[in-house]
Amino acid sequence: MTTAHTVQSCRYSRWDGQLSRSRWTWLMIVCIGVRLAAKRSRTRGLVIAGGLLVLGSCGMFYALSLLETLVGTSQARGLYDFIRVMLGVDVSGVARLEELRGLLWRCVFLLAVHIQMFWVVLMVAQAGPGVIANDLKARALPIYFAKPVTPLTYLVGKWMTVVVFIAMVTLIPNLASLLLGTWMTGGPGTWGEFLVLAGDLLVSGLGLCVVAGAIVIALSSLTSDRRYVTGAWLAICVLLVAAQAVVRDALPADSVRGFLGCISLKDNVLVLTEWLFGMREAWETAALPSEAFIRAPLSEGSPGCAAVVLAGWTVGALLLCYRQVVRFSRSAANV
Amino acid sequence: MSVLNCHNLVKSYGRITALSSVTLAVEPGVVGLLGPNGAGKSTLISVLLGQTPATSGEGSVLGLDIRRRQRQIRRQVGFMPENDCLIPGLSGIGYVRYAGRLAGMTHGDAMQRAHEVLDYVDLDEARYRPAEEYSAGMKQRLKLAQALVHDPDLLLLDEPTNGMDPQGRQTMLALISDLGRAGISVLLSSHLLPDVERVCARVLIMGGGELLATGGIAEMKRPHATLYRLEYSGDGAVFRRRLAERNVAVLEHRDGQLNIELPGEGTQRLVLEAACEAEAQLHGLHPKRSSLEDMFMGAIQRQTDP
Amino acid sequence: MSIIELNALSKWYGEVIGLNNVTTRVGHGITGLVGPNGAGKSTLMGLAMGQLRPSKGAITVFGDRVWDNPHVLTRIGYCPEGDAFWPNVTGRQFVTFLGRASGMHGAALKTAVHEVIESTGMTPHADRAIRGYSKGMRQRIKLAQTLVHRPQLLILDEPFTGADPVARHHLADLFRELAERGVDILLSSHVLHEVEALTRQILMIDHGRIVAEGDLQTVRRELHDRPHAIRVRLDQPRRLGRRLVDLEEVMSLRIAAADTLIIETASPDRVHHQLSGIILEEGIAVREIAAADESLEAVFGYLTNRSA
Repeated sequence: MTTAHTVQSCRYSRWDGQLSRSRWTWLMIVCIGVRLAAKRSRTRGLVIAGGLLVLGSCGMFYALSLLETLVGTSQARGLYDFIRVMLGVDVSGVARLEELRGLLWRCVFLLAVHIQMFWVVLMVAQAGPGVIANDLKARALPIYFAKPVTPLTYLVGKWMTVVVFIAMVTLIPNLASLLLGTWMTGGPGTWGEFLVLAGDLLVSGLGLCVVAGAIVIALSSLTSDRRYVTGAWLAICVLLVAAQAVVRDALPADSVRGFLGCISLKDNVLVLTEWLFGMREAWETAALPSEAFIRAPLSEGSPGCAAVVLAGWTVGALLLCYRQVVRFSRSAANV
Repeated sequence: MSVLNCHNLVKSYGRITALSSVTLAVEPGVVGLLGPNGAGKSTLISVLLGQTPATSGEGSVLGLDIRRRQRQIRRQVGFMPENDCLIPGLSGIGYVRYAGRLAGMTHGDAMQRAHEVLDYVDLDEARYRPAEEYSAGMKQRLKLAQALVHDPDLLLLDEPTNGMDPQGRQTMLALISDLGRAGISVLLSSHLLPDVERVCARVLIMGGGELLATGGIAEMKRPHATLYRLEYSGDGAVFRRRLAERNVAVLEHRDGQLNIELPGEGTQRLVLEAACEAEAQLHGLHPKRSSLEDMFMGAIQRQTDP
Repeated sequence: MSIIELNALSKWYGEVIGLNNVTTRVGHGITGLVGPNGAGKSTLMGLAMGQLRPSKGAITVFGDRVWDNPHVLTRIGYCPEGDAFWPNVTGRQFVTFLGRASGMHGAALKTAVHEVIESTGMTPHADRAIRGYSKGMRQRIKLAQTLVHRPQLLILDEPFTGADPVARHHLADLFRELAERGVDILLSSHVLHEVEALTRQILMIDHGRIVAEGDLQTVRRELHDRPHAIRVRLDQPRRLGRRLVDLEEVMSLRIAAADTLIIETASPDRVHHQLSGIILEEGIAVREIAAADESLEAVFGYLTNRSA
């Protein structure tokens, strides 16, 4: 590029490189977003704490594998009690525990998902609210929209930033538990079962990430103060759970069976996860007596209803966010 | 080939018309965009960048249609916004690299080019510090760097010397002139008329959503043939008499200053003769020149009372 | 009589120095306060307003100390830098409230508010919420509240920020008019040519210290280590140069362009005295004679040579 001038008449040097069509711009937005959010120690703390769940899950798998070898012996009693408390089912009457391995592993993962629900609320409250709100506050949007970045690219980039953090406390630990548990104890059964379980975990994890991510970026796009977003997110989570509890108590159980799961997001997610894992069929195949169950093995609610509600929340949130982002992109020059 | 072209460009938001039938053609070079607040300058920039669609009319930037080739336009145009548009948490170098990658540069290209433009705007060690800690002048230069990182052919600068002290302004204006010499076209929007006078070759004056006037700075600043302002020390009355004897008309006089009109072109020596005869010391002999301020106020005036 | 007097005044914020042992007086009329960013201009204004407490030394305005003395504030009007308003009040309400805070009330307040809104050109916008104002309008409404209680002294920190050229023109006219009416003004601005157009009295600060004060031309003459530059536009610069090189007072000559000669001298008056005569003798056609570095911008550059 430089010719053999000894002294340039002007100091600015031009660049003869190429600009790509930028299909991966959204990924760059994700990388920066993740890097910036990960700088905060509370975020890192939550990720690490979420990862500790792996130890818990692997501990459960180990206990189950140990129990299989100790069936019928007196040492098994402690383990039977442990399983009963943790998974809500008494398997002391079962002769061949190996046949239930797949089902019990799924129970462990469901328990993990239950716990991770709370973790997701905290993680989203920590890493989510600022994604768009901080850009609004810093008036950084003109920088994005003066470049060949479309509102859709921006939206997807921000959405995936939150998805990454949620995945770090749900999907990743679950897959890690599955791998580590399989390595330690031989897995949930055949290779086929392993792959199916891995697939189910992936789908359910991604689904949760996508829904929670969409809701929080929609909230983040509404204001430049991240604290309001945090408050709104926590309010949505808590109020919906509370509303569900009220409805459940107020209405007779039989009449609105199908609708009960539809209000709270948490319960919708659990209903869908159980459906995805095929828990109903698995329990029916296991044919355990009803006294073996400490608590109801399945959540109440219809998966179809849950899917519709979650899809509605997601689509609504994304549309709202998109509308906001398009509005911001248009007034970028004098924002 | 003109860098900016508009034909009957109209932009309205509901009942408010921000741009009403703007037609302009801007040649390559450094051009100033002036106008009172609310004249439509920001709207024009938004429409040209394709950020908001024009209500009617056509336009092209660097030969690319503003309605259909928005992404390509933004690859070839750099924009330096007026406000502090920092991404919180990034260092100077991180910010410029990010801007490069958003424009479509590869990782390596963005890194190398970001450092190059930061050298150009003289942000040395400071580039590794968080951008929030920068002074006003440094922030402006950082914004210029992010506009330059992908080597645009056209730069849109919105109040580039905002909040800078006099030395900072000189530096920024020198950078802009240098960019002009490098072959980059610049559209400079500013309220500071002396800045525009110093670096721009042409100006566009907008008001009330319309283009009111365009003009070249050089032709505007051509010295008047016969109107002069004098600065002197000595006996004013005697000096004025000697001038009058030579048919030099004294239009106005104040202590130490005179506004005169020469009888003809090239007769400045009459002033010197009068000064020598009156034993007055001539400190200054200034031909009247239009200032950009006159041109601007004139254009606005013509709009308000046509 | 000086309006503001500073005596060995220092102000520091923790370890950071704002003003360092400053002794000076600000007199009647318009005084321009100039200096690079971070030099101490806002500190000085804050101290003059009694908003900052001197760390050492004293400052008096109209002979009274200002710290902890709200009474003297009725005679001072302050227009700070920065953009902080109550967004939902209208311009008129804003100015009225602050006028009341300065001790005005009733019909006098109403008339004053009306006048001051008129003189800052905000009458068409006064009854809209400030939230909808542009930057220049905010600046003008801020100025209106500065003027509403008819203060004797105005302290203005960057009053032209954000104003478009039309507004700048009006504001400059307004300041001139006020000065003619006897109001004293201390204003700071980065736009040096605007300061120069308003006044020749300057106060130049750098690094918390005064580097120059007084009449601009006098200050320039005091810069003995900086020879004056006289620019002459003419047809034959070399011919004139050949004659001028013999003059003792001429330190250097530079052919800056095909038609421009720059003469450097420590005694510009003596050179001017002889210049006209020499030009006439040689019969050279001269188009312009001007001082090249007596502007505020040039003096500022000489005295505050910090890198930006």
